[in-house]
Amino acid sequence: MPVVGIPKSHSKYRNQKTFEITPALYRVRSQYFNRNLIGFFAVTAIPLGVYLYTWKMLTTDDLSDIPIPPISDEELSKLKKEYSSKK
Amino acid sequence: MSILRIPKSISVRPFNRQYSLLRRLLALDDNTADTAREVYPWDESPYEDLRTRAAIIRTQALCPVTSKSVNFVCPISGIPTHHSKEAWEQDKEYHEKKKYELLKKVNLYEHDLRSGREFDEFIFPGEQEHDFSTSLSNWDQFFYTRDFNPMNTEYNLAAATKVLTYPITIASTIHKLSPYSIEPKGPLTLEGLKSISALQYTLYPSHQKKQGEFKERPMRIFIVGAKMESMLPGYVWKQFGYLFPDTKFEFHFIGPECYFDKDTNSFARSNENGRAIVERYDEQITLHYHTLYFHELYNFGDLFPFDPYLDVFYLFHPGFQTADKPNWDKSLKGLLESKCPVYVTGYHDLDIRRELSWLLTHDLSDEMDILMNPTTNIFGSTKIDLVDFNPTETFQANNEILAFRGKRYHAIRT
Repeated sequence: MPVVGIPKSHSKYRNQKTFEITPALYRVRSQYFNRNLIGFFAVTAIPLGVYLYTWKMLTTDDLSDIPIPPISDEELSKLKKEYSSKK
Repeated sequence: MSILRIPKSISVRPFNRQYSLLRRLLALDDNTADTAREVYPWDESPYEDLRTRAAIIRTQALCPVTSKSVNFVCPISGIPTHHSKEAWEQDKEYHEKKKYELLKKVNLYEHDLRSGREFDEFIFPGEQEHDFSTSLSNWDQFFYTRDFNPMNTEYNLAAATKVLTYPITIASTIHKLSPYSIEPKGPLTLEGLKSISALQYTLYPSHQKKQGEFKERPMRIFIVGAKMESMLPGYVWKQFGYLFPDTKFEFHFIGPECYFDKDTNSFARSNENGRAIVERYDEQITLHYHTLYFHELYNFGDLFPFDPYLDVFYLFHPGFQTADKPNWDKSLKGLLESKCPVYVTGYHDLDIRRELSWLLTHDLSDEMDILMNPTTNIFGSTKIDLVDFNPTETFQANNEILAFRGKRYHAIRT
């Protein structure tokens, strides 16, 4: 039995062509409105929070905590030259 | 006087639907306000019976301010209410409580019933599918879950609830999904819970036990002092039956006005030995009409034995303190001796308090337990009616409800 979509019965509670909700169905649903709204905010807060946390971490991290192996200035300039010649 | 019907109103403006859907979803705009209707004064109504009723009000009613005869039509509601314009202006209570708004609705509802529109709300649904349960939390939920035609306007709701209030009020008190909860959150007392549990033991037998082990006979619902409700046809009571598909019911209407004989156009009286007129609607529902007073019937003893597991009484607006008082005095003894729950409804808050005060001050009040404190009946009629001899007083059928029962143990004075 399909769960998603308009229930097969109760079809009279929507306009047959536009599927617009009738006033009767508005009244039926009105008592769930506040709880649904709270639920909506709770559910959207999870992915939104993950996204914002990731964004924050990526923008503020300067990767300074990653240890750079000790290297002498001579070798560094050599490597830089090698890198620029390859380009 | 245009009649708003949803399919038509939408076909006029089919293109803004996306926007309006979102807007209305968020605003929960129920757009039931049907402002297009014109208010006719009852004296100039196109329907003769309303003109007659206005004349009756003029002859019977007294002005609430001057106590003279009613001779002034309220310009807002179109109903004759006061003696003169000055009296109408002086009536502070009338204007402060906005009684004219209610009277206007009375006027509009009465005209709507006579307008000859299509009464879709009286097309009743059939059997409830096993997988879908019925919600009894309010009228809208009930109509939706039972899959009635949508009650889009208040006029639909008024017409349908006026009829269905009787069976559904009964159902809402004994159904397992009853909206009335126990004290202190709800009106039900501990004794009330005991009585309802007994009835639900019959209505919802345990699947572990053998079916029919307990139910040797159908459940009996007594409607004592039946007036309007006894004229309801069987298919209205069947709507009650659909909520309890596994139980058989006998409705017993008791009272001298309970059987209206259409052939003789009068309230018929069954033969004096108290035998009932029985109408069998179907397998599940039978209607019994006893045209005697309850105490007479009780003394005949035909209804014995009463069983609190199988019997329940309903008194729809009994009017304990009206002209019927001597009969109620005699009947109360039988009602209490049966030990079955007795539900009483009233027209409004004042009415139910009058009934309760009669019960509490009665000689037999020591023998009585209150099962349900007076509370607003969730399944009362939404149609507002008018008292002819006092046109500023409005009432709604079954608006309030309470319940009592005879004490199940001997009353001992401590």
